[in-house]
Amino acid sequence: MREGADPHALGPVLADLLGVPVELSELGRHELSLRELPNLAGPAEDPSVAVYLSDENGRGAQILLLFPLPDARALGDLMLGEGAPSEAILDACREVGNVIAGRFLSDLADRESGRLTPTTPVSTVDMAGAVISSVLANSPEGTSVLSLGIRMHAAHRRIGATLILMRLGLAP
Amino acid sequence: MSHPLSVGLGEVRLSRKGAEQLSIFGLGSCVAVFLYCPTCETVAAAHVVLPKSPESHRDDGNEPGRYADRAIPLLVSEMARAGVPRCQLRAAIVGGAAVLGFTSAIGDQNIQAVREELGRVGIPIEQEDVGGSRGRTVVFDAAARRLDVRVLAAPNTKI
Repeated sequence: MREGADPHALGPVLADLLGVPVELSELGRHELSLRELPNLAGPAEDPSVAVYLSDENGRGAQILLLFPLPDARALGDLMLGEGAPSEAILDACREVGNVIAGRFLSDLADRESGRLTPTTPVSTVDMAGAVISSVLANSPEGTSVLSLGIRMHAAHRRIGATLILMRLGLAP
Repeated sequence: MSHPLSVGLGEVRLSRKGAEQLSIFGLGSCVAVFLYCPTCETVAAAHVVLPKSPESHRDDGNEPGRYADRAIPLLVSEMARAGVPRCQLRAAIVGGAAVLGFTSAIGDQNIQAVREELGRVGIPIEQEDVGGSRGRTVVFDAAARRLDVRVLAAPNTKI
Protein backbone atom coordinates (compact mmCIF):
# COMPACT_ATOMS: atom_id res chain seq x y z
CA MET A 1 0.00 0.00 0.00
CA ARG A 2 1.59 3.25 -1.05
CA GLU A 3 -0.63 5.73 0.65
CA GLY A 4 0.12 7.55 3.87
CA ALA A 5 1.19 11.05 4.64
CA ASP A 6 4.69 11.77 5.82
CA PRO A 7 4.39 12.10 9.62
CA HIS A 8 7.11 14.76 9.66
CA ALA A 9 4.79 17.05 7.72
CA LEU A 10 2.24 16.83 10.52
CA GLY A 11 4.55 18.56 13.01
CA PRO A 12 3.60 22.13 12.08
CA VAL A 13 -0.11 21.23 11.97
CA LEU A 14 0.01 19.77 15.47
CA ALA A 15 2.16 22.68 16.68
CA ASP A 16 -0.69 25.03 15.71
CA LEU A 17 -3.12 22.90 17.69
CA LEU A 18 -0.92 22.41 20.76
CA GLY A 19 0.66 25.85 20.85
CA VAL A 20 4.22 24.50 21.18
CA PRO A 21 6.77 23.28 18.63
CA VAL A 22 6.10 19.64 17.74
CA GLU A 23 8.48 17.26 16.04
CA LEU A 24 6.96 14.07 14.72
CA SER A 25 8.97 10.98 13.94
CA GLU A 26 8.01 7.69 12.39
CA LEU A 27 9.12 4.63 14.33
CA GLY A 28 8.11 2.04 11.79
CA ARG A 29 5.79 1.39 8.88
CA HIS A 30 4.41 -2.07 8.17
CA GLU A 31 1.98 -3.63 5.77
CA LEU A 32 0.11 -6.34 7.59
CA SER A 33 -2.43 -9.07 7.20
CA LEU A 34 -5.58 -8.60 9.26
CA ARG A 35 -4.74 -11.43 11.65
CA GLU A 36 -1.47 -9.79 12.66
CA LEU A 37 -3.22 -6.69 13.94
CA PRO A 38 -4.59 -7.36 17.42
CA ASN A 39 -1.16 -7.31 19.06
CA LEU A 40 0.12 -4.48 16.93
CA ALA A 41 -0.12 -1.75 19.53
CA GLY A 42 1.35 -3.87 22.31
CA PRO A 43 -0.31 -6.65 24.30
CA ALA A 44 -3.97 -6.99 23.29
CA GLU A 45 -5.11 -6.53 26.89
CA ASP A 46 -3.29 -3.23 27.45
CA PRO A 47 -5.53 -0.21 28.03
CA SER A 48 -5.44 2.38 25.25
CA VAL A 49 -7.29 5.44 24.11
CA ALA A 50 -8.65 4.74 20.63
CA VAL A 51 -9.77 7.34 18.09
CA TYR A 52 -11.54 6.08 14.98
CA LEU A 53 -12.63 7.76 11.74
CA SER A 54 -13.74 6.45 8.41
CA ASP A 55 -14.64 7.91 5.04
CA GLU A 56 -18.15 9.29 5.07
CA ASN A 57 -18.59 8.40 1.41
CA GLY A 58 -18.16 4.71 2.14
CA ARG A 59 -15.07 4.22 0.00
CA GLY A 60 -13.53 1.82 2.47
CA ALA A 61 -10.92 4.00 4.14
CA GLN A 62 -10.68 3.72 7.92
CA ILE A 63 -8.17 5.14 10.38
CA LEU A 64 -7.60 4.04 13.95
CA LEU A 65 -5.22 5.87 16.24
CA LEU A 66 -4.22 4.18 19.50
CA PHE A 67 -2.54 5.97 22.38
CA PRO A 68 -1.28 3.80 25.24
CA LEU A 69 -2.79 5.17 28.45
CA PRO A 70 0.43 6.82 29.75
CA ASP A 71 0.87 8.56 26.39
CA ALA A 72 -2.74 9.77 26.42
CA ARG A 73 -2.14 11.22 29.87
CA ALA A 74 1.04 12.93 28.64
CA LEU A 75 -0.91 14.42 25.75
CA GLY A 76 -3.55 15.64 28.20
CA ASP A 77 -0.86 17.19 30.40
CA LEU A 78 0.56 18.95 27.37
CA MET A 79 -2.73 20.32 26.06
CA LEU A 80 -4.67 20.89 29.26
CA GLY A 81 -2.18 21.01 32.12
CA GLU A 82 -1.59 18.26 34.64
CA GLY A 83 -4.51 16.61 36.38
CA ALA A 84 -7.14 17.21 33.70
CA PRO A 85 -10.25 15.02 34.00
CA SER A 86 -10.51 11.88 31.88
CA GLU A 87 -13.25 13.24 29.64
CA ALA A 88 -11.17 16.29 28.77
CA ILE A 89 -8.16 14.10 27.97
CA LEU A 90 -10.36 11.94 25.76
CA ASP A 91 -11.47 15.10 23.94
CA ALA A 92 -7.83 16.12 23.49
CA CYS A 93 -6.93 12.72 22.03
CA ARG A 94 -9.95 12.93 19.73
CA GLU A 95 -8.85 16.37 18.53
CA VAL A 96 -5.28 15.25 17.81
CA GLY A 97 -6.57 12.05 16.22
CA ASN A 98 -8.88 14.10 14.03
CA VAL A 99 -5.99 16.26 12.79
CA ILE A 100 -3.70 13.31 12.09
CA ALA A 101 -6.36 11.12 10.50
CA GLY A 102 -7.75 14.01 8.46
CA ARG A 103 -4.31 14.65 7.05
CA PHE A 104 -3.89 11.02 6.06
CA LEU A 105 -7.30 10.86 4.41
CA SER A 106 -6.58 14.09 2.56
CA ASP A 107 -3.27 12.69 1.30
CA LEU A 108 -5.03 9.54 0.18
CA ALA A 109 -7.70 11.54 -1.64
CA ASP A 110 -5.01 13.54 -3.46
CA ARG A 111 -3.34 10.36 -4.66
CA GLU A 112 -6.62 9.00 -5.97
CA SER A 113 -7.88 12.30 -7.34
CA GLY A 114 -11.00 11.70 -5.35
CA ARG A 115 -12.73 13.04 -2.33
CA LEU A 116 -12.64 11.45 1.08
CA THR A 117 -14.71 13.05 3.80
CA PRO A 118 -13.82 11.96 7.31
CA THR A 119 -16.62 11.11 9.72
CA THR A 120 -16.76 12.69 13.15
CA PRO A 121 -14.18 10.86 15.25
CA VAL A 122 -15.38 8.42 17.90
CA SER A 123 -13.21 7.46 20.83
CA THR A 124 -13.08 5.07 23.73
CA VAL A 125 -10.79 3.74 26.44
CA ASP A 126 -10.48 -0.01 26.31
CA MET A 127 -8.20 -2.96 25.64
CA ALA A 128 -6.21 -2.29 22.46
CA GLY A 129 -6.94 -5.75 21.05
CA ALA A 130 -10.68 -5.38 21.66
CA VAL A 131 -10.79 -2.14 19.71
CA ILE A 132 -8.62 -3.37 16.84
CA SER A 133 -10.46 -6.65 16.42
CA SER A 134 -13.82 -4.84 16.47
CA VAL A 135 -12.70 -2.51 13.68
CA LEU A 136 -11.37 -5.49 11.73
CA ALA A 137 -14.66 -7.31 12.05
CA ASN A 138 -16.29 -4.26 10.52
CA SER A 139 -13.85 -4.23 7.58
CA PRO A 140 -14.80 -5.91 4.30
CA GLU A 141 -12.77 -8.80 2.93
CA GLY A 142 -9.91 -7.52 0.82
CA THR A 143 -9.04 -4.71 3.19
CA SER A 144 -5.33 -3.99 3.29
CA VAL A 145 -3.62 -2.50 6.30
CA LEU A 146 -0.76 -0.12 6.88
CA SER A 147 0.45 0.57 10.40
CA LEU A 148 2.72 3.38 11.53
CA GLY A 149 4.33 3.84 14.88
CA ILE A 150 4.63 7.56 15.49
CA ARG A 151 6.18 9.63 18.25
CA MET A 152 5.58 13.28 19.05
CA HIS A 153 8.26 15.31 20.75
CA ALA A 154 6.85 18.46 22.32
CA ALA A 155 7.75 20.52 25.40
CA HIS A 156 10.17 17.83 26.64
CA ARG A 157 7.50 15.17 26.39
CA ARG A 158 7.51 12.13 24.16
CA ILE A 159 4.10 10.82 23.18
CA GLY A 160 3.79 7.59 21.25
CA ALA A 161 0.86 6.27 19.25
CA THR A 162 0.07 3.66 16.65
CA LEU A 163 -1.80 4.69 13.54
CA ILE A 164 -3.58 2.00 11.55
CA LEU A 165 -4.80 2.86 8.08
CA MET A 166 -7.19 0.38 6.47
CA ARG A 167 -8.12 0.60 2.85
CA LEU A 168 -10.35 -1.55 0.71
CA GLY A 169 -9.34 -2.73 -2.70
CA LEU A 170 -5.64 -1.98 -2.82
CA ALA A 171 -3.23 -4.86 -2.83
CA PRO A 172 -0.43 -4.38 -0.30
CA MET B 1 1.68 -25.70 36.70
CA SER B 2 -0.90 -24.34 34.26
CA HIS B 3 0.08 -22.34 31.22
CA PRO B 4 -2.09 -20.34 28.84
CA LEU B 5 -2.70 -21.47 25.28
CA SER B 6 -3.68 -18.38 23.32
CA VAL B 7 -6.39 -18.57 20.67
CA GLY B 8 -5.83 -15.88 18.00
CA LEU B 9 -8.34 -14.25 15.65
CA GLY B 10 -10.13 -16.92 13.65
CA GLU B 11 -8.19 -19.77 15.27
CA VAL B 12 -9.45 -23.06 16.66
CA ARG B 13 -7.44 -24.77 19.42
CA LEU B 14 -7.84 -28.02 21.29
CA SER B 15 -6.48 -28.76 24.74
CA ARG B 16 -6.39 -32.28 26.19
CA LYS B 17 -4.31 -31.42 29.22
CA GLY B 18 -6.13 -30.48 32.39
CA ALA B 19 -3.23 -28.27 33.41
CA GLU B 20 -3.81 -25.99 30.46
CA GLN B 21 -5.73 -22.79 30.21
CA LEU B 22 -7.15 -21.52 26.93
CA SER B 23 -7.01 -17.73 26.68
CA ILE B 24 -8.26 -15.01 24.38
CA PHE B 25 -6.93 -11.54 25.05
CA GLY B 26 -8.75 -8.35 24.11
CA LEU B 27 -12.08 -9.64 22.79
CA GLY B 28 -14.27 -6.91 21.30
CA SER B 29 -17.14 -7.75 18.94
CA CYS B 30 -15.65 -11.23 18.44
CA VAL B 31 -17.08 -14.16 20.39
CA ALA B 32 -15.03 -16.84 22.14
CA VAL B 33 -16.69 -20.27 22.03
CA PHE B 34 -15.47 -23.06 24.32
CA LEU B 35 -16.77 -26.62 24.08
CA TYR B 36 -16.01 -28.83 27.04
CA CYS B 37 -17.11 -32.01 28.72
CA PRO B 38 -18.27 -32.18 32.35
CA THR B 39 -16.39 -35.38 33.01
CA CYS B 40 -13.07 -34.88 31.23
CA GLU B 41 -10.54 -32.11 30.74
CA THR B 42 -10.64 -31.81 26.97
CA VAL B 43 -11.61 -28.35 25.70
CA ALA B 44 -11.88 -26.87 22.21
CA ALA B 45 -12.04 -23.14 21.60
CA ALA B 46 -12.74 -20.87 18.64
CA HIS B 47 -12.20 -17.14 18.24
CA VAL B 48 -15.19 -16.19 16.08
CA VAL B 49 -14.90 -12.89 14.19
CA LEU B 50 -18.03 -12.87 12.00
CA PRO B 51 -21.39 -14.62 12.03
CA LYS B 52 -21.61 -16.21 8.60
CA SER B 53 -19.14 -17.18 5.91
CA PRO B 54 -19.76 -15.47 2.57
CA GLU B 55 -20.72 -17.67 -0.37
CA SER B 56 -17.48 -16.69 -2.06
CA HIS B 57 -15.45 -17.91 0.91
CA ARG B 58 -12.87 -20.53 0.04
CA ASP B 59 -11.67 -22.62 2.91
CA ASP B 60 -7.89 -22.45 2.62
CA GLY B 61 -7.34 -23.84 6.11
CA ASN B 62 -6.48 -20.44 7.51
CA GLU B 63 -8.68 -19.01 10.22
CA PRO B 64 -11.06 -21.99 10.48
CA GLY B 65 -12.76 -20.32 13.44
CA ARG B 66 -13.42 -17.00 11.70
CA TYR B 67 -17.09 -17.62 10.93
CA ALA B 68 -19.59 -18.96 13.47
CA ASP B 69 -21.33 -21.20 10.93
CA ARG B 70 -18.04 -23.00 10.19
CA ALA B 71 -16.34 -22.77 13.57
CA ILE B 72 -18.92 -24.61 15.64
CA PRO B 73 -19.20 -27.73 13.46
CA LEU B 74 -15.41 -27.81 13.42
CA LEU B 75 -15.24 -27.59 17.22
CA VAL B 76 -17.73 -30.47 17.49
CA SER B 77 -15.68 -32.55 15.09
CA GLU B 78 -12.42 -31.77 16.93
CA MET B 79 -13.99 -32.88 20.21
CA ALA B 80 -15.30 -36.04 18.55
CA ARG B 81 -11.83 -36.84 17.24
CA ALA B 82 -10.54 -36.36 20.79
CA GLY B 83 -13.08 -38.94 21.95
CA VAL B 84 -15.77 -36.70 23.41
CA PRO B 85 -19.23 -37.54 22.04
CA ARG B 86 -21.58 -34.71 21.13
CA CYS B 87 -24.11 -35.67 23.81
CA GLN B 88 -21.58 -34.80 26.51
CA LEU B 89 -20.62 -31.41 25.15
CA ARG B 90 -21.35 -28.16 26.95
CA ALA B 91 -20.61 -24.62 25.73
CA ALA B 92 -19.34 -21.40 27.21
CA ILE B 93 -19.48 -18.18 25.20
CA VAL B 94 -17.94 -14.75 25.84
CA GLY B 95 -17.72 -11.47 23.92
CA GLY B 96 -19.85 -9.72 21.32
CA ALA B 97 -19.36 -6.25 22.80
CA ALA B 98 -19.95 -2.89 21.14
CA VAL B 99 -16.55 -1.41 21.96
CA LEU B 100 -16.95 1.45 19.54
CA GLY B 101 -20.62 2.27 19.04
CA PHE B 102 -20.71 1.27 15.38
CA THR B 103 -19.63 -2.30 16.07
CA SER B 104 -22.75 -3.16 18.07
CA ALA B 105 -24.48 -4.81 15.12
CA ILE B 106 -21.62 -7.21 14.51
CA GLY B 107 -21.27 -8.12 18.17
CA ASP B 108 -24.99 -8.85 18.39
CA GLN B 109 -24.95 -10.81 15.13
CA ASN B 110 -22.01 -12.88 16.36
CA ILE B 111 -23.80 -13.72 19.59
CA GLN B 112 -26.98 -14.66 17.76
CA ALA B 113 -25.14 -16.77 15.17
CA VAL B 114 -23.21 -18.66 17.86
CA ARG B 115 -26.40 -19.33 19.83
CA GLU B 116 -28.19 -20.55 16.69
CA GLU B 117 -25.34 -22.85 15.65
CA LEU B 118 -25.02 -24.31 19.12
CA GLY B 119 -28.79 -24.82 19.22
CA ARG B 120 -28.71 -26.46 15.81
CA VAL B 121 -26.16 -29.05 16.95
CA GLY B 122 -27.89 -29.49 20.31
CA ILE B 123 -25.18 -28.21 22.66
CA PRO B 124 -26.41 -26.35 25.74
CA ILE B 125 -24.76 -23.09 26.78
CA GLU B 126 -23.84 -23.45 30.44
CA GLN B 127 -21.72 -20.35 30.92
CA GLU B 128 -21.86 -16.99 29.17
CA ASP B 129 -20.79 -13.37 29.44
CA VAL B 130 -21.84 -11.54 26.29
CA GLY B 131 -22.87 -8.13 24.96
CA GLY B 132 -22.25 -4.83 26.71
CA SER B 133 -19.77 -2.19 25.64
CA ARG B 134 -16.48 -3.30 27.20
CA GLY B 135 -13.66 -5.40 25.82
CA ARG B 136 -12.87 -8.63 27.61
CA THR B 137 -10.05 -11.06 28.21
CA VAL B 138 -11.19 -14.61 28.87
CA VAL B 139 -9.36 -17.57 30.33
CA PHE B 140 -10.94 -21.02 30.37
CA ASP B 141 -9.54 -23.31 33.04
CA ALA B 142 -9.70 -26.81 31.55
CA ALA B 143 -9.35 -28.60 34.88
CA ALA B 144 -12.08 -26.62 36.63
CA ARG B 145 -14.11 -26.17 33.43
CA ARG B 146 -14.67 -22.59 34.45
CA LEU B 147 -14.49 -19.19 32.75
CA ASP B 148 -12.52 -16.28 34.12
CA VAL B 149 -13.52 -13.04 32.37
CA ARG B 150 -11.64 -9.77 32.87
CA VAL B 151 -12.54 -6.26 31.79
CA LEU B 152 -10.44 -3.17 32.38
CA ALA B 153 -10.54 -2.27 36.03
CA ALA B 154 -11.81 1.20 36.86
CA PRO B 155 -8.34 2.70 37.51
CA ASN B 156 -7.33 1.69 34.00
CA THR B 157 -10.36 3.23 32.33
CA LYS B 158 -9.67 6.53 34.07
CA ILE B 159 -7.11 8.32 31.94
